[in-house]
Amino acid sequence: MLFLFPELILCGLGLGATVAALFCRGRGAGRWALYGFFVCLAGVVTGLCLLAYAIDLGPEATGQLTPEFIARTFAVDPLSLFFSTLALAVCGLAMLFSMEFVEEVLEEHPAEFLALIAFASLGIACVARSRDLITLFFSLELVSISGYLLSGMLRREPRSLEAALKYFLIGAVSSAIMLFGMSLIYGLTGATDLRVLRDAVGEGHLHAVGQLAGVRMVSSQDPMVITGILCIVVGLGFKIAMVPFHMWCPDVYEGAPTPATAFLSVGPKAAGFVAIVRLLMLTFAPSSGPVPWAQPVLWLCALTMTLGNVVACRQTNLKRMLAYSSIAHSGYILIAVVSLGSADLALPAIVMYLIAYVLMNVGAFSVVIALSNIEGREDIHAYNGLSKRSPYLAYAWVIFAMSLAGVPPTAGFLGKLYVFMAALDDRVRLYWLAVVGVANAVISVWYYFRVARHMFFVEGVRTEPIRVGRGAGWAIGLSLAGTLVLVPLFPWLISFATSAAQVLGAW
Amino acid sequence: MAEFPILSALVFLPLIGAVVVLFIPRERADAVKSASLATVAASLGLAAMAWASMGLGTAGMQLEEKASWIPQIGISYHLGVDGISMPLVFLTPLVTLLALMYSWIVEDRVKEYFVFFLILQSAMTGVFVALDMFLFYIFWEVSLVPMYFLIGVWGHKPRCEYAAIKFFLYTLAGSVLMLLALIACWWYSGPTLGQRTFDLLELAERQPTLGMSAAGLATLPMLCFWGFFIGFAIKVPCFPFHTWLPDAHVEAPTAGSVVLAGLLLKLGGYAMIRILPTLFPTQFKEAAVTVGILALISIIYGSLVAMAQPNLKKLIAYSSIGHMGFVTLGIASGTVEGIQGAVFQMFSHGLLTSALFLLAGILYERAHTYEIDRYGGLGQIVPVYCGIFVFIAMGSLGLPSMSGFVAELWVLIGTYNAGTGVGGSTALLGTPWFAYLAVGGILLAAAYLLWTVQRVLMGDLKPDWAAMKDMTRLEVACLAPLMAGTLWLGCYPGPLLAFILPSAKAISQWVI
Amino acid sequence: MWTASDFLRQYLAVLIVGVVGAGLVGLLLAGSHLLRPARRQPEKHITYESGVDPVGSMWTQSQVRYYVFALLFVMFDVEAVFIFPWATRLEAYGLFGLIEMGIFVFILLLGLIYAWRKGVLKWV
Repeated sequence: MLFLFPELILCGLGLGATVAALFCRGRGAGRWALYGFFVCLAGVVTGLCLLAYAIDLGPEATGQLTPEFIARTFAVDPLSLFFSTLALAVCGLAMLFSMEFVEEVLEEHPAEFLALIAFASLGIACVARSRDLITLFFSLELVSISGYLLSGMLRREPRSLEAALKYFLIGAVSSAIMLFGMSLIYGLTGATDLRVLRDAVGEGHLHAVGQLAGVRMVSSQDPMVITGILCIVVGLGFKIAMVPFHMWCPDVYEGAPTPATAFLSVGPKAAGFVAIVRLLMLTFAPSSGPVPWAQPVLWLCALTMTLGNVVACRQTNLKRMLAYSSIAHSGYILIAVVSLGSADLALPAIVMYLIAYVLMNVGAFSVVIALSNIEGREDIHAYNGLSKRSPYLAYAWVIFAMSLAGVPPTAGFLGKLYVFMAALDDRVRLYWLAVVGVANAVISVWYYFRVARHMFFVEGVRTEPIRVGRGAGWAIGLSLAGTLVLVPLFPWLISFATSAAQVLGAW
Repeated sequence: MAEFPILSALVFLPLIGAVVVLFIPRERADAVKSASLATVAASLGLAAMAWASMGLGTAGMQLEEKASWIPQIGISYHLGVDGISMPLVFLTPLVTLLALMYSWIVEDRVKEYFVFFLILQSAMTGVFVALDMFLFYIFWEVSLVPMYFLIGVWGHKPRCEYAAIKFFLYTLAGSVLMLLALIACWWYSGPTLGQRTFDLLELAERQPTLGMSAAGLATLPMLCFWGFFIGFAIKVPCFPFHTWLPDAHVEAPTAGSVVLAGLLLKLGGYAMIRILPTLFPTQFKEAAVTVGILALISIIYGSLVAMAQPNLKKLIAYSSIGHMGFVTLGIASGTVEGIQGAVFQMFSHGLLTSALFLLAGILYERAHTYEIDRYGGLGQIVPVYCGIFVFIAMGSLGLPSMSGFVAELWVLIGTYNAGTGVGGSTALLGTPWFAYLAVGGILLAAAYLLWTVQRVLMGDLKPDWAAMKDMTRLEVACLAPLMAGTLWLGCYPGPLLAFILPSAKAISQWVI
Repeated sequence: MWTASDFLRQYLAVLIVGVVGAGLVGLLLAGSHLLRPARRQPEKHITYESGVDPVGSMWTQSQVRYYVFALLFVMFDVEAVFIFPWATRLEAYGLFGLIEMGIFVFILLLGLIYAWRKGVLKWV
């Protein structure tokens, strides 16, 4: 139970915010957000300590510390603990950058907004934990449903409602497809436990646990298995906005309230990638023979990066631009996913990239939030002359832009470096994909720095200084510190990511 | 007590200075300027001390600093200088100092301006002293961002925005290719993660290209070579990757152009010498002729285009392409003299082109135009300016007794040797025609520079400029060290050439 | 060995259940027909006697409160789905199981309280 600490915190936080919603009339929600942040902060610190403890103990001992009925569906390995802690961190940052929004902008249900963020984060944590198809599906749904509500929180705004409806419809369809794939797999093997499935699909032998359950073995090249896996890929593709399942993403990001967008751009995406790691990389990747899903995902990965970046160049609304940018980042992470043959680099690369992505994307969005709280708009001309109105915001944007584009010395560079290292592995040899990746990194500089151009080179119509809100300001500061401090701390980061991933190999 | 880490101090002193400057209130512009200048002057002193403490006649790295940083993937904090990098390490604070002195006249966003220059200096010094490729790459990329802002914010509106992003994208495109090639080299430098290395000297010993061939990847070494080469060639810039340079130079503020031409271009040339022959000896030999041809095109094409320019700053920019072509040519020859000449040319060009851009800036400050045709007869009213201009132009066109002459002579000797095999070297280039044609480039340089002198300084005085003031003391002070350096190196090149020689020999041995 | 007749014999049970089921329905309908009083009115012939008239435009509007109630109903229905199997195994789970179900019910209860406080349960 000890190792479920982050989930318990998140659950408590969500329930607490729901209770708070009963007493919260009108103003005052900002205070709750601040409390929520501090709870998350304490949780993150505790989570990191637990993580160190778990890495120290090793997977066997960690498993023994957990009651058996939990361990059956909930993984308690260091990797899942890491992702739970990441979910806590995302939740904390989201509380922080939503502070001014729930206090001043959102008129109805401000406390519910916070509760939904907590519940969605709980979903992310549970996705990371899932060791069973059914748990996984439920957790993903928790993330998604909270997301639908979050995007529709401004319910007097048609755009917000449109976003919510679109997100809901697409999300429901994608969940259905994924569930269909899962049911195919279950129908063929008779198992939902991921460890059993790993042995049953394509490994050619069953461990004791599989034989007891009366599981059928199938070949990983069985057309029905491939269909099932591809259905899951499609379903998860919607969640992480992989091309061609990305259409909802810009519209939803644009319409949803900005803090909700900021959260949606990191939260559900992290959840989607954790699910991909668990399902595709660890379960449905036979140790010998071709990996059934690798080829399609490979092409979609190249397509995702390129389309995301190229279309982002044409955007004039910053939220839309960041939406396409987040699509592109899914593409970069997918490089590591398809490089799964690189045993000692692929998983650490994903871990590292997600850490960097959370930091830089939250940071970039916090800049957008800070300005949108005051100006009420997000088009690129609102940023004209920002470097004189608020140097803090402008220079913070430059750092985040560098990180998003993968220019050193920022966390984003480390993520990209590791991803490309995995792709150039002698066992993987995806040279062309790496070239596509770096070409995209160059394209992305254009639109990230186009915003910097408006901030620095263009004179603005308005010149009065901007007062950056406390919450958003702190969220920017924390992300900024994280983005920069990870470079000197790179060795620590590598050890951390590698040990998390290595321990997981024996799950 | 451990030895004083002088190279780390050189790299990080400007950065510390930048942080200090950040805390000076925005209104106290003079304090900002003085603090920045003091920082750069201090690092110039440090660089001089470092140079003085180096032994002559040693080929290997000196003043080395090595500390474990990221052992998991073989990255260390490794700095060092030798005969090739030290002149450039010294040149960096020198040119920056003069550029910042000239920038005393800047009024707009002073604090940010000086902070960007300090960061830039830090990054450039870092590139010259880094012996770990990861560190090298970080410094290499960090140098882009301050330059982007220097061009974009303080450049000539409105085209500077375009020039800034073009500069950024172009150079970044080159460096990401380099990154991929670098990772590929890293992959084949050892069997497991921890045993691989990013250390330049280690990589040279282990020859990852052999590992690539052993893994059955026959074309990968060549691809990696071109990945590195394109990354460097864009920075140099070598034809056909040069098109960012005229835009960036013309639109940048004067001090920006000075640093860009005087120092940033040298990053490319330096990296070519340091990395290409040592990591890719076989590929270098195969590609030498191609590289030589590109260099030759840069020399002749750059000079011809310079001749056709109506814009003074653009003319100087294209002349840079021509002169940097000599650097590439010297490297392509692979001979000791060629590499020696390339380093010498980089140093000399750093002095001369900085002076030329300063002169152009001084003129612009008074007349607000770069159009050569709008000037004329300035020699009558601004004699000091006229004298300095002629002096620098003579240096730039390679007049004997000026540094440019020595540098180009050495490159030509190296190229000739590499063409004929005279002097015990392998005939890497295969024909002496490279040397013959390069001489033509020198003639062209003389033609466009003399013609410019004629059009700007001689003839009838245009009435617009009748009231033009001659150079101020500050401006003369900025130019005087450059002129002195040019003359000194031209008349007495021995010490510098001797200093470069052992390291050039060591590099040359890889390919000869 | 499976043979076709074996296979069909398995379906015999289905057939029997079907016949018995149909008979039961007929019996019950007939019984109630005999016992109940008959008052013929036009409303009695509508398809959904106390529901929405299915004839007309596709865009009929219905009270949003139906959905809220339906959702609450589903929520507690699901609760029952979980509680029922749990109850059959309560002894095996012991005190820990009791506490865990307590937490589960508490969370759902919190939802109910939330709905109640927000005035969802009132039919205005």
